Amino acid sequence: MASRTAILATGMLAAGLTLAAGIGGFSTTDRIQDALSALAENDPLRAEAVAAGVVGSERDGAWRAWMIVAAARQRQGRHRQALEAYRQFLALCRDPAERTYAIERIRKCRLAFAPPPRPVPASKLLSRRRRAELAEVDSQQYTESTEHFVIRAYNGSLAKLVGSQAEVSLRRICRIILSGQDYPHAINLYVWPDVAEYRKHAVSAAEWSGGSFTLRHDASGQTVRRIDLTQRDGDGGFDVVMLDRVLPHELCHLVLTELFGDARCPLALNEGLAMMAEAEVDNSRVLLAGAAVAGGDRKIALETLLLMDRCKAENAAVFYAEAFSLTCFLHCRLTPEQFRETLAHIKGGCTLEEAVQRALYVPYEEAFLERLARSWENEAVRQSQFLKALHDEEDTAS
Amino acid sequence: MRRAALAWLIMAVWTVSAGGDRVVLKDGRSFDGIVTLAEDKVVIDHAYGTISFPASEVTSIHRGPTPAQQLETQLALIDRSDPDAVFQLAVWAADNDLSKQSNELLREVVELDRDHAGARKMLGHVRDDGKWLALPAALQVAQGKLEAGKYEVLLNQLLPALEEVAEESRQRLLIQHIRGHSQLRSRRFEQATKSFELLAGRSTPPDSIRYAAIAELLKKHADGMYVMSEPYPPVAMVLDGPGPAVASGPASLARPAVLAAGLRACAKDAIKAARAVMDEAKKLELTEPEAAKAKYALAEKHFDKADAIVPGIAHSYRVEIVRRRIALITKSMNVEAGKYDTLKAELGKRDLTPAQYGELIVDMVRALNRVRSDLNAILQLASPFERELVLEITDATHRLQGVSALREILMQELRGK
Repeated sequence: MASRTAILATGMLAAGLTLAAGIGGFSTTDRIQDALSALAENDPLRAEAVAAGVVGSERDGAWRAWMIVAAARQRQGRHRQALEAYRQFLALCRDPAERTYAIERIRKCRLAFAPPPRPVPASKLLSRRRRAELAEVDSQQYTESTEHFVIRAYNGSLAKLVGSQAEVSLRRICRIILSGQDYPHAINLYVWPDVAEYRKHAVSAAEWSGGSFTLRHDASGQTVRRIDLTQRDGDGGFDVVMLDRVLPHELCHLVLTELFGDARCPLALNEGLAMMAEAEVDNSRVLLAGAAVAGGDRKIALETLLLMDRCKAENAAVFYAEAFSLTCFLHCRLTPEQFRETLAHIKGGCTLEEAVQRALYVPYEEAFLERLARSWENEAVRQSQFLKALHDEEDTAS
Repeated sequence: MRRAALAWLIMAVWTVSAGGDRVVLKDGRSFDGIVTLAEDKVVIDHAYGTISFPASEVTSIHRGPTPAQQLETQLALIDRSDPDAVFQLAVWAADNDLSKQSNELLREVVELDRDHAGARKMLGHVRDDGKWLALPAALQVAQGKLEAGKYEVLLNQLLPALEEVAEESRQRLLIQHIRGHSQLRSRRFEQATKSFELLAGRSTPPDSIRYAAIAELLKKHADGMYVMSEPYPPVAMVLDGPGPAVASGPASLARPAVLAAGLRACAKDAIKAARAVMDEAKKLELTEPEAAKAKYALAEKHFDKADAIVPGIAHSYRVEIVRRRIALITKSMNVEAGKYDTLKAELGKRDLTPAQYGELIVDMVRALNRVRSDLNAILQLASPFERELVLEITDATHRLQGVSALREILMQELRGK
């Protein structure tokens, strides 16, 4: 075996002085392995130097070292150069799994050097005057259409705004639930001027709700997708909650209901996803979830949470907070593909623990749910404590 | 030394009749062993069993000392403090099927000379770090050295020595297994590929499938670089505890965790293939139940491969297949149960002659037999998954009891006729 120092020296030389081709008597494999060792030892500089030497040698299979160059550059935070190296690798790679990985990395590099703007809830961009305009109700109904929505409202400007926000929400939902796949259907959106009108038209909606969805088949067998919303709050002002929360929440329920069909989706997951789809995280839920799982008596254990089909008024807040916390935990810890597979397995009749284990492609473990519960609870408490500390800090500062 | 030489001279003379007595048959053949006469037969006990010949076929019997007797004589003649002399007798004893005595003598030799290479080898001992170890202990040490990363010692010293003394195929496979992994972990990818190919050819499933998967993985990644699409182990990202052993990205297959990740990806592919077949089967359930059954059997083969590569990875899918097959059986069983109900209704409706009545009862018993057979099939399918299919098992058992009770009543009625 070649000594590591000798190979290191060779690699450094190759990178620094571009004396790459045909250096030393070491095989491409030896040098690739040495570069991989450097990477594993968290020495990306050395890994890049050695791998760059291999690439420069132009021997058979030397191009594969581009992957090491790219990974080493990415670990150094040199995303543009990493992207270039991934491209070089991609140009010669034929293995589908490796190609998928390289493409994904290129996407991450792009996000790293050109991060998308932080999404701001639409309501935060509305001036007082604009809100007043949006609260106005005309006598006639306006119809607007977008790629996926047909919006009917008694305010032309509002119909436009709701349409654009619905598209934004749908993209977010597709990213969360469908791993970014496109949603191929059209949805009817009705914005009613007030609660009374809303209740009159959304007959099957819960009494306390300000928004609801329906999915039904009409006489011709066509599926009709519909969401009913309320324009104004109790004080007659424009209901911003409708825009930021109710619209994406109900939209997510609709997409999920259609995705699951007759299959059962645990209510906690259904509500959790709908809350995740909202334009902004409600920190009070994070705080409550942490307090509940740490506090004991109010806590709803994971096993119970997953079996609940409805919640009583006294535990509704905790239920929603925990459902949100659990769903966020799963979505954050699993890869998008694993999360999508988890949902698919639940749809196929698996329990959550079974679905997650299947999505992870690991042997079934009996104590998995228990371990999952522990990890989620720890995370919920951590998040809640972090938020609390942040609030305390802000209070002290002010 | 004179005594040892004398012993060897006698041994050479006795070699002709090392088995004790010799029987010469009329057709010219001869057999050595312990000869006894029983009625009109000549019975020869030899190392490989007992044979007998009619006395009429035997020309002559030459009586001679048994190997054990010969050995005793030899032992009396040699110098028991001379390890080489004792060793020569131990070799002779082993050659003459006196393994117990041979082993005792070999132990005597190593007491006289603890580093006697010949005796140690015959005893199956291997020297490691100056210590002599019995084969099972030496194999354990070899596995320990593999985990400790002492690949050069293993490949150059311990494994060749082990190979010389290992006789059982299981032990030889284990040695080859350790060699393959030592080669892999010391980045000798080409050699490792060959070792795993050899193992795949010599072992039986599930081991052979796993070895073949390793060989395939190494062939596909001849430079030993594997691109991890996600961290490994995957649960490390979801559950609290030690973090992932390997991050995503390029890594060396010489690292055991990377190899495990590569194998998991192979198992994942097998599972995906099986799931595609399961989907096809599901579509056929209503229209072509037999074809669906065949598809499920095919899916199980893919799962066998997945389980061979990562034990237990396909467990929940196997349960799902059994559930689906139980549902299929239940459908056909319900048809038979329906037939039984129809026949039972006939009993009350029609004015039957005794012969017709008897035939009807027989038909009812037949319908119940088919239901019983379906229920037994369900229990057989579900039995490996008692925990997961407890409801199905309980239900089938309960129904089976009911069917047996009904059948007994009908049989009594028939016997009464």
